[in-house]
Amino acid sequence: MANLAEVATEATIPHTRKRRRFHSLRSHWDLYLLMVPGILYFIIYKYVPMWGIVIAFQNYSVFSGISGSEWVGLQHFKTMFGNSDFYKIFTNTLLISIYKLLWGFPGPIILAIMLNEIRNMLYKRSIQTLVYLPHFLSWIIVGGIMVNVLSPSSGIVNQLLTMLGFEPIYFLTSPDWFRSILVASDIWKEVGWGAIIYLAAIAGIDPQLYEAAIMDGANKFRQILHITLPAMMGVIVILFLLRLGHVLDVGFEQIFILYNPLVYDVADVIETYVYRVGIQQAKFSFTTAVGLFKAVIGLLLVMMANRGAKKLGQEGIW
Amino acid sequence: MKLSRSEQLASGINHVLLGTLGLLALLPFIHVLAQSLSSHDAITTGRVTLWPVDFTLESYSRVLQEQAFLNAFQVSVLRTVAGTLVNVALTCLLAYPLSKTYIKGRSTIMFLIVFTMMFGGGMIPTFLVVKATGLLNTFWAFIIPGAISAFNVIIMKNFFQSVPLELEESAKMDGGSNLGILFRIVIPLSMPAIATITLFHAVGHWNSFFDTVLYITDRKMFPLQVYLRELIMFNQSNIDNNSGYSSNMDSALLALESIKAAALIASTVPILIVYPFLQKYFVKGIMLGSVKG
Amino acid sequence: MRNQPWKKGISLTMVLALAVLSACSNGGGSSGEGGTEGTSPTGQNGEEGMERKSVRAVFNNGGRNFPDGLDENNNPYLDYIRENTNLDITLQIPPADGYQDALNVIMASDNLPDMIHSMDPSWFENYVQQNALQPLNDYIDQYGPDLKKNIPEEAWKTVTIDGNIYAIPSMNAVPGNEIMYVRKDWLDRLELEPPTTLEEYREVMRAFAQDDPDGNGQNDTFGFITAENLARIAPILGAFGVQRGMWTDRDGELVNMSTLPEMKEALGFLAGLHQDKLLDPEWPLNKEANFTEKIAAGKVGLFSAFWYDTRGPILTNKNNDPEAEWLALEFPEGPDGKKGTMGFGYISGYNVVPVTSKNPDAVVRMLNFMNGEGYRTLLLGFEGEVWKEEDGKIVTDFEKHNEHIYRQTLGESIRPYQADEERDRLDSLGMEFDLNANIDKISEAVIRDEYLGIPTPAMGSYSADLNKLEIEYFTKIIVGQSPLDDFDTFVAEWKKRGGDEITREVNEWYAANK
Repeated sequence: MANLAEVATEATIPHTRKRRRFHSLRSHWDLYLLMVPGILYFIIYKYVPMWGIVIAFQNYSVFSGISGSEWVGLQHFKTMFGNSDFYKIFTNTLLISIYKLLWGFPGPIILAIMLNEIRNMLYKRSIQTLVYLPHFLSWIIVGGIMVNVLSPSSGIVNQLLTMLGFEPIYFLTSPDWFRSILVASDIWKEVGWGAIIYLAAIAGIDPQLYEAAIMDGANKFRQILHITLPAMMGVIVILFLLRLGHVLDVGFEQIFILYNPLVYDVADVIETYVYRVGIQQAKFSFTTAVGLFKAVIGLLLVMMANRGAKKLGQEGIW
Repeated sequence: MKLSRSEQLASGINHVLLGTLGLLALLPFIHVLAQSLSSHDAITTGRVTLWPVDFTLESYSRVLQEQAFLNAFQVSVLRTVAGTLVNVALTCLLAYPLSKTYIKGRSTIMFLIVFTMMFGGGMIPTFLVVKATGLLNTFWAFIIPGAISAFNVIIMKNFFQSVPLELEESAKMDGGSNLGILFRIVIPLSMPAIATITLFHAVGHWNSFFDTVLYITDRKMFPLQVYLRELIMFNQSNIDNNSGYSSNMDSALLALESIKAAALIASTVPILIVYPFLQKYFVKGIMLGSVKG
Repeated sequence: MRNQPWKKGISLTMVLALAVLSACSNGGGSSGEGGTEGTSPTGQNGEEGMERKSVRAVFNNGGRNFPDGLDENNNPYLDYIRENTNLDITLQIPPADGYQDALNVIMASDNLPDMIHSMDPSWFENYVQQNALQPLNDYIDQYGPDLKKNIPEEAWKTVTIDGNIYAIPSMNAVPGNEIMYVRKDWLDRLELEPPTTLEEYREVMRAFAQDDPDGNGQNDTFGFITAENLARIAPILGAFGVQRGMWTDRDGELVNMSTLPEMKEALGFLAGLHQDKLLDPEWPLNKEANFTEKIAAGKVGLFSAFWYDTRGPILTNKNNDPEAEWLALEFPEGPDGKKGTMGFGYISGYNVVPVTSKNPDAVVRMLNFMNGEGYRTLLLGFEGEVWKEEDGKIVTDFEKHNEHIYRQTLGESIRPYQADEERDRLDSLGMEFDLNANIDKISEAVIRDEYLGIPTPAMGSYSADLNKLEIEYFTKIIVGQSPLDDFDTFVAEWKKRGGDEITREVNEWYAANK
């Protein structure tokens, strides 16, 4: 709706742009004023420190500061790309990220819709509160529990498998299983938390729309397909775009806690690599260089996807 | 309302699936809760699963009686309340104009905001700015450096955009000012979104600890998360620990497993109850109905 | 970083005012402002002829809490140091988690303290390279007689670069961690003798895994247990005369033990254990909690214990099973008669003075006292309050001990080498735990790293990656995912990926410091 109105006004008066700009400033000066604190915040605390990015091209020393540190050009990028494992690490990162995106991104959306269909308020609220609990447990605690639950000898999962006549599975040490475990445990931990924002989107839907649909004889599935989902679309697109920006961040803590030498081949990612290599000398410069690399990729993806979303008639981020 | 047979079946499956998921989410919490009520020996021999063994409330009495815990708790509550208020206010003020197509340069501003989500100056440059603005070792260090989250601005802007234009326009016809419309119409209509970012910020404040590491040296201002990490860390003898720090040895006397669990519960539960409290804003249609009606 | 008025000396009137001030204030650099330099009448409790000065120091408290009403700048132990050194000391204690990050922002600020304690050798090396630290030779000669006495030559070597001493090191309290422990009651039930050779150890492992040592009729015990990242195998490696990652002299050159044929033999032995199902099959996943849980729950009767595990999992196991009886063993003797366990480096922490400090002399005075005369009190607590001597033995009031635990932050930051007080303290924790006996046994058997320098530049670049490579290869070899001969591939890879460069640098140091 909002879109249509926008397009209409935009289209009818293209030749009065100049006058409109002036008009906009004069009649909405209070709105411009509202933005001042926020914009100041971003300038002072986000953009002023951004000169820090240049340390990616230095051997930055905290003590000497940026002006006193030695310039090394692209050395840190060469170190990163020159590592003989880099190809493997990059592939692992991308694969885990894509799996998490593919399975993990729709999770909260589905959960929110499922919750929305519960009529009993008490049940709905209880489940809603329960599913967001794991978000508050640290991976250290969850990891300890997972080792126990997935243990081939004493874990409950494998006991069930053995009862059903299967061989016990070494989930956490098997390269075949490890990524699935990463994705599944990540979904379990964050799905409830992620659903909150979609629940908010659903809460904003005009109930009259449903009433009208029911009049038209639409069943539940059609209502979801034609009312709930479209109403969530704006938020879904925005979150998807923002998620793309972090496509090379796959969750350091989770992997660091769960992985072990037997699955390094499939689980070593950029973040664990940075932890290993960056932890020592020139730490700040190296980590900044890797961060810069990840951010550039993320930004490119977001810009492309944002354009795509706009072409498809969605609102996009900017 | 009558449901068709297939709808009933789907609804049944839905209930069962959600129930299972809820249970799966709850179990680890019960596990930690049971640990907090058990003896150290029972925990370290792996006898505690979902029910306390050698039931005792001693861990809680020790955690809750400690002055350092209470002090840290107070700091956390204060920063969460004050910080969240500032966050939400500033976010809304920035996001509302950005949701209006007639605001010039909004696209550029949005891009620059998204840009900060991907590129940052890093720890040291940010520290130097925080220092230069005189926030070190003040309560403001908890609030100002993280005053606005780009993510939440984008979310709020998006929600503001979905507020039906007719409502605003009719208010304008009636002579409402921009600010009047924001506070009387747009904000009440956006309560689900505001509740969401309130929750995000509150949880963020409650869980944050790294700003304390960097900006605060006065131990009286240490929040709960720092207290908790120190407690847990003190007992954390890394398994391949080579440092030979003898403090590992003293830990057995001090930070028992049960105390760690109790501290964890005592410091998590307060933030958990924020959500159920905010849930009333997630009820479908209630907002729209109340304004329109 | 430049002019700092608060670091100037202080006049007599200020001294008195500050004594009050510093007792109430905490942290911050504001104390000691103003005043004039050099007018320094000795305070009434101070040492003769020692100038009244101020020191601002950063320590790591390792997560210890202060009792109600006290804090890092307001407690009797700090007062004790203040009074005895005639120094006005202000402490800053960043959160223990994130400590090294806090040190970095402190170094980036323009208000540097007089002293910083770091546990990280790379951190130390890094700031030496940046000329951020002061050489302390002269001050140690003048003000540090106890430091010179209590810190051994090998440790000074590590912190001396081009003849300049850049840190006053704190010593490791113990020579090493690991010692073999066995369930005596299991041995007795199966009529076995305590093993001494590696072969006998293997037989005990076999029996513990297969012959139902706990007599419960179930096959639910392991012969041996290790943990993630190849932890808890030091005595086994020692039987082959090697330890992971250490440097040893072969024909006048230092070589890395992880690449020696003896290491391959040791891996072969461990792989045999895994193959014959004598080893806990989940060992690559064992974290501290899982590891101790299995011992405490009576699943294992033989493992490489930390010397203080007698107060940890072993104690829990005894509480849990009244029949359990544990015995410290001789280190296993390998095929060539070798034995040993992993020895620590000498140094556990570095106390450094940034170049901006005007009070390096005061820092040395403070540390000299903490390390010498004051150490006993900082370690044990106040006599008569925390402990007292009865029949030549120290008796500790554990409630007081815990309440005063924060004092150890000060003690362990500048620990002397093998101080008698350590022994007294361990004995006072309970003779039944054999803490000193274990340390003595470890001390006799440690295999030490012969490279004593700080991390070399190539180590900074490659060692973390090489360590991961090593753990990956070794773990796969032990669990049988890779054949033993992959060890040779590992050695080649190791050399290629920076190992050769590190070896060269290490030997440069060796040639200069032999």
